[in-house]
Amino acid sequence: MNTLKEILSDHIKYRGQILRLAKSDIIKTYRGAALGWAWAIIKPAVTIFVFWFAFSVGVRKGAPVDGYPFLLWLIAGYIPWFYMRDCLSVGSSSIRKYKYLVKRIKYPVDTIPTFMSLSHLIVNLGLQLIMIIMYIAMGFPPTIYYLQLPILIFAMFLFFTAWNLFASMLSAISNDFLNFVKAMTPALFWLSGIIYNANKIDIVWIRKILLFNPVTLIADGYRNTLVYQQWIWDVPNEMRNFIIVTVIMILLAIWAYHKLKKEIPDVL
Amino acid sequence: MSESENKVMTAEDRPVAIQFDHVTKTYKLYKNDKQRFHALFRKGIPCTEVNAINDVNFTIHEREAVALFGRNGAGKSTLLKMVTQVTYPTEGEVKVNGRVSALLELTAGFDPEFTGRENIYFRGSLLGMTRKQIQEKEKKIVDFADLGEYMDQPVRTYSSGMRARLGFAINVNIDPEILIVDEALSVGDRSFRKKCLKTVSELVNEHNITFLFVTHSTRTAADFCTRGIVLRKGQVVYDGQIRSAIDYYEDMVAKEDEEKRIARLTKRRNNLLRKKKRAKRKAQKTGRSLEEFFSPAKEKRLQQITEELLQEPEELPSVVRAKKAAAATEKVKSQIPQMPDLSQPVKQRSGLEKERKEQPGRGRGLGKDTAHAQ
Repeated sequence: MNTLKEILSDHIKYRGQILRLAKSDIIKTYRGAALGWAWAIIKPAVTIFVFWFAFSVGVRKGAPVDGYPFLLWLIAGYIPWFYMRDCLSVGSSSIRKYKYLVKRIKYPVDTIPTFMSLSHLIVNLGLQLIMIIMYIAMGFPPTIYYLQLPILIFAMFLFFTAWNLFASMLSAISNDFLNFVKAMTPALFWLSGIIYNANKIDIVWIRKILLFNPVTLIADGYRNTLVYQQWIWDVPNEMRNFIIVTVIMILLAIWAYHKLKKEIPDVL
Repeated sequence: MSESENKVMTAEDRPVAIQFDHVTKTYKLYKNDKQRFHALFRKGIPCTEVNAINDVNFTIHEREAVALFGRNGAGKSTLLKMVTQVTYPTEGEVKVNGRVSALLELTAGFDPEFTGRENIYFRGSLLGMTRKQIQEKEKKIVDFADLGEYMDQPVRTYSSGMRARLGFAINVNIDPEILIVDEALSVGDRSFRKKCLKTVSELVNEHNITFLFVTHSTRTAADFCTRGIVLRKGQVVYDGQIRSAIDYYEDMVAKEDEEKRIARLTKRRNNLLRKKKRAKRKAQKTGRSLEEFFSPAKEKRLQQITEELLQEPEELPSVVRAKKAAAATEKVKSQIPQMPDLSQPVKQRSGLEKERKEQPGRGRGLGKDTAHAQ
């Protein structure tokens, strides 16, 4: 597990850089456009509005879910999805995006997916803040369960940063892999409990599979916090699943880095 | 003893700055990306292996100034990439001690979206400098690069010359321990080049950095470096004194060019001879003249090429240089006043005549001077 030690020590040594590069990545993403950072809010807002309209007014005829307005129920699961989706699509090509850090100067490649993930997280935290404000505005003040949000945020960050490292290394070698991931992303969305409640699926084997999808697990965590008022350990099977999936992801990331570290500068 | 204390440390006594130990760098070329991807998981995928660097060994000690010569494709860039630890050797070990400041391929690792100024801070912090330390150097770097208002524009708007200037300005002003300079010196106008050379010579002579200079310009190399390494097709073919290294390199280039020239001419000649032979046969068959199948222009060309091939090859550069040097030495020698031959008995005459007799073979002009030498 020398690779793990190497990854950790790289992160500690370059922590200042990671923060600075995350900040600059956010600035870069929104700098060119006229409306700048407002896009970070407008895009998700439009998506949510469309879904809300289609499902709430169109499909469900405006019925609330479990005592909460459909909109609030929806965004509890949807907002974290924006972070997850960013990691799946943009994060998977972190290393490609920062080619010059790999090919021209000496820089620890394993920290590139981390600061990309961090930059997406920071933007998402802003969205989460808006989400909480919406809850308060619609008459649902914060409860004590909100205390587990930091744990959820950390868990989400851990899993998806590991994913970023794994996917970035592989997609730096192969364009096909990147395209595969992008194609799978919508599937991951629809096979998760964001639009519907995965726990309420009757067919047992389908439910079991859905509950291994990390997207479902995170979305459920948020729903449990904001809507159902449950601690994450109140659903031990989901917590257990998440830990398993995260450990596997971390191992995959370490494997990918170890195997491909030396190839990347020559291949990019 | 006091003498050994005064003795200057030879290079070998100083700590090692860069060491290559049986280093080989192999690039694997696959038919396409898909095959490369599969090769990660399966064996037996066909690929072409190219050794950009092949079993290279050398050691560079602190404060040495080494020039690296080689034709295009000899492996210089690959070697530099390994020194800057941007890429890894396939076999062998690369050891580098000290902060490496290098310009690789002119683009030098800038973030294209950052401004020039922001990139200064970025590079500085990557090299471990604090914000304050960078601030102290900022003005010096900005002045050196001389980019005017472009300093605060994103680097993607720069021309390649501007990028090289910025890169160079940063690299030489941040207290490097190992400075690597390659073709970047060829960019920029004369005053910039002079600035660069002045700074580099300061760094080499006063700040005791280790200097690695990659160039085709042997003259500049001779000015700065004491040692030369010549690379050919990924291998070190010469490693020694700078002057001999330059001679070796220039001779090697001349020989290779000559060989290529001969090969090219021979091929053309053979082609023409074949055509002529066929033309002769046709002429014989049809009973017409040779000129109708093999034009006079072609015949003239054939003779031209044959003559060129028979020409004496040009003298090797090292020979030319040696001859020039010898001629110059002779000229200078003939103008130095020679010491009187004290072994011979001196006839007592007037002082002037004595001098004239004992200093034969001097030009008329200098005779005037010696008249005053009493």
